[in-house]
Amino acid sequence: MGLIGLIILLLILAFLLGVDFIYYIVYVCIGVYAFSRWAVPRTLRQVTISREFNDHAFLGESVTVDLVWTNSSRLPLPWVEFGESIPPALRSGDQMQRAMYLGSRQERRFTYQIQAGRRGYYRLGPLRLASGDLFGLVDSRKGYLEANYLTVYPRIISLTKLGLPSRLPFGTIASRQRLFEDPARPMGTRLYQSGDSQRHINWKVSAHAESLLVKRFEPAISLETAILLNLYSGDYERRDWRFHTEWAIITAASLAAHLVNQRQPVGLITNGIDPMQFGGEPLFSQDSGRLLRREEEEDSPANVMPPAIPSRNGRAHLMKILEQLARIESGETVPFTQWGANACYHLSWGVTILVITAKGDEETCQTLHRLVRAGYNPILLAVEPDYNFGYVRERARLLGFTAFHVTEGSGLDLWRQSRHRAVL
Amino acid sequence: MTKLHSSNLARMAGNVDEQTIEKLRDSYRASSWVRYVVRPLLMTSLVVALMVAMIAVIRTVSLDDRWALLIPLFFIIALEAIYTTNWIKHPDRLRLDRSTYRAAEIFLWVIIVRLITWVIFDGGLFGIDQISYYLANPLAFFLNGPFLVALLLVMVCWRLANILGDIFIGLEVSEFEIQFYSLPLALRKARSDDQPILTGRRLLVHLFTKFWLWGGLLIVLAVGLSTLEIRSLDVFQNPLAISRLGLQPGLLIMLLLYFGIGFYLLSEAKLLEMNARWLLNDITTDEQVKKVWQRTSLLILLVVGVVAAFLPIGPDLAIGRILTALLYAVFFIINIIIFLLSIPLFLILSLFTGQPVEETAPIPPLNPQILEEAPPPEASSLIETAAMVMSSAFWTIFIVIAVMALLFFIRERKSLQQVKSAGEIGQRFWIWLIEFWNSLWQRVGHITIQLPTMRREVDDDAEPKESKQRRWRFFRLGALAPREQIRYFYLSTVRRAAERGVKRESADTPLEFAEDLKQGWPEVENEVEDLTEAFLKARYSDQPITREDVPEVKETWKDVRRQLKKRSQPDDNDVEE
Repeated sequence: MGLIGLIILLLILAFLLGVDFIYYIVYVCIGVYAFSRWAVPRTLRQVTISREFNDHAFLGESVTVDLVWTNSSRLPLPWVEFGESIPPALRSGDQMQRAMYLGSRQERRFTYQIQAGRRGYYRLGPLRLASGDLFGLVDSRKGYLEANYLTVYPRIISLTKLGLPSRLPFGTIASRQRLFEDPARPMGTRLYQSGDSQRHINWKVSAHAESLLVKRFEPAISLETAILLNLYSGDYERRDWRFHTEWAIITAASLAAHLVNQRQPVGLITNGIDPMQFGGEPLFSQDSGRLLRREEEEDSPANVMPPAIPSRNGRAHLMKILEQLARIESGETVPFTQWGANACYHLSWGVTILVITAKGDEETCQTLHRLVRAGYNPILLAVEPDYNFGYVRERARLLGFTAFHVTEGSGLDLWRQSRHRAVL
Repeated sequence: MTKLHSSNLARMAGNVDEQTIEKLRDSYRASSWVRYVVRPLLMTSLVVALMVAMIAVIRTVSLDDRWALLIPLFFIIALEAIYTTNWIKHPDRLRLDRSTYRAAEIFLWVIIVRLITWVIFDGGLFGIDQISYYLANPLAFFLNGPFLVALLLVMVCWRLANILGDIFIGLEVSEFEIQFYSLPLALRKARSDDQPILTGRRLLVHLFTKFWLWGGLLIVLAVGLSTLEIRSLDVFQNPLAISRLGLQPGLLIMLLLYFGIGFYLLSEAKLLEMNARWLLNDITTDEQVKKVWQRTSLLILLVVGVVAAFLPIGPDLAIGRILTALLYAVFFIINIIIFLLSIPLFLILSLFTGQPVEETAPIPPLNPQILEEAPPPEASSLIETAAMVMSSAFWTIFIVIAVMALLFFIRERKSLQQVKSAGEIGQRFWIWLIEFWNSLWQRVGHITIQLPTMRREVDDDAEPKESKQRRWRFFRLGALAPREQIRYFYLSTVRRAAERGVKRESADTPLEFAEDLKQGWPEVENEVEDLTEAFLKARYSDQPITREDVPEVKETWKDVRRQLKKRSQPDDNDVEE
């Protein structure tokens, strides 16, 4: 028998026994029950919750997340409990689980910190909440605040830390052909000849000289740079492939950042897996909270490989590249030897291609050679340790491109110091 | 006493920060003031409100206002039961034999209730005669109507208080839970064997809700019944003739108190349930929640109460009118059905009699003259001695059990020092008890030796005053109800008449026997008539007999006895001569 049952029985008793005061008790019971049933849902409808935070963070940064509760109702919420789902990989303290009182027209702010300790695409939330009446007469009302997402960029380190010279000729190459004139570098005027572009006529000078003169430019051009990132797990040593693919991603991010800082346009082409390419609800790891790829959809690699990011310059473009690098995962997609040359067909002639891959074996070098023959300017960046990288460098020289050995790990420092000059 | 829980808690103690524990206690438990003062008082008031309603019904039926004097006792019993439940469930008392402790508690309450009902219902303070009577008749001490009813009520009150106490102790976050959940999560997982057993707190809240709702129904019913005026048995023959009394202010307050406190405790129960849930799920609570919870509950109750006070009340209400109409409709349909069913029945009956069916003649009242009143059994000295031994043994055992219960009850609640002093008192009492027992046996031996002499003295009607005083009196006449006293006067006369040769035959009615007596003792003819008439009224009439009626009958009885003595003395002298 619930309160409703009691109310009905009391009404009958009040009538049969003829005691008027029982009606008063009935009114009180009805009043308390009705208030409990009405007040909480009504107040909850007028409560707004928002999650305020910077949704992009660099590795190692601490991100402050604010949960702002606003009750615009005249009635208070006597209790509301909520729990914010925080990815375990980002937690840096106690869980955000609270039971609180929210007064009428009150705003409350709860702040917690997360530590961007690993690159990735993380889900913050959802926030689940429950509230109810003070007497337990009605069931608790439940609700939730939808999740937001946080992108943690890969680590960016300087070229010197990567073991690369800081003045690499990325992007800008000298051209022997005057077909490639750089309009940004005027070097004088000459008489107009048939076939010259009208856009290059220097009208002011022509008016002064009373003959048509056209501008002359230096015979050089800023070419685009594309980063070709090989994340096919089969190309890496099985033992340390996770570590080396992660290092390859850091290298790609560092190079992209360096080039954008140099105001050079840069693009990204990779054969890794971007979980955001999958349709439907994104899947996040229970252990870390990172975005996961769906194993069942890996049968068709073309579907899971992200589209190439064309070369552009500017900070916004860099963020776009870094976002993709934050999400990207290595996997069994397409081997580099099959994918590398085809992936660059859409690029313009003369583009510098920074090929980041595991090692500089013969097949890899042959692939890069095909790129040389196609008119590109490939540069090999091998990320796995190789004691005989001198041979690779020599082979690359013979095949018409440059090779660099970019490894990471304190165990390799000694080796790098002794071989640094030779390798470069 | 080795504390069972200490081993479990001690294992955690090394890893637990005392400040964390204190913080958890503050966050997830009610303050000591609420736990030890406010809540027990509220629970007690809830139970007492229920008991007051029951008392109101008993008062209405019995027309005896003395029952109201039991209300303070209910308050004390409920409070004691709640505190004892609270105390007994403490982790320090895990090794206590709870059943025995509770049995001791009940036993002590039985004694207290008997003494209190003695004072309230048996005419005030204890008289020597009354004590002597009860010492000789232990069963009469307990087989007493008001006492049995009061005991039943007390047990109900005690049990209800225990149920409430159990519910709220179960709802409160326990010390084990505080200790365990103050550990870091990793340590908790490592020590999962020490995890406290989960309490079904939601179920406990439901249990309390059910308790309160059913209690509410009962209290309303009782209050409603208490407004009926039941002056005589006639009202049961014609319920519609029952007149109505107004609702007493005390009951009104109790009704309000019951529902108000019930709602408040319901809110408190919900808070306790939520506190436990938050602790178990590692949810940090806002200090404000606890503070605001009860305040808001009270505010809601107050606002609703005030608003309800301005609403129309009574049968004028639409729902009241609907119910009235429904009830009349039901009665109307029942009447029609009965009428339709009775027509063929009457027609069939009229075929047999040829006359219209007459109303059934009322059943004649029972003739009191054909009822037989057994004379009181004759008390011989031998039986008296055996009864005395039996009663002595009974009381000795009773006192021993009572003392043991008292010591057990007190000992467990005292510190060691206090226990020692209690033990000394117990030892002294034990020595006194042994001495008392020895003296009792000596007395029994003395009586056995003097038995032949005593028998002669008993046979002798004109026994000296001193020996009369030594005889055991089995009851105090004044303690009996007026009706019983009059019966005693008559039956005593019948016994004396039998001793003097005018025996009453088993088939004789009181009036027939009165005729025999008048023939045998013409000098007390009028007294015998008066005595017989008073007896018939006391025995067979439902007319009230007050204490004012007794002295007159007693005087008549004394006259008869005096006359009989005068008559017997010359005979005795003749015999001696």
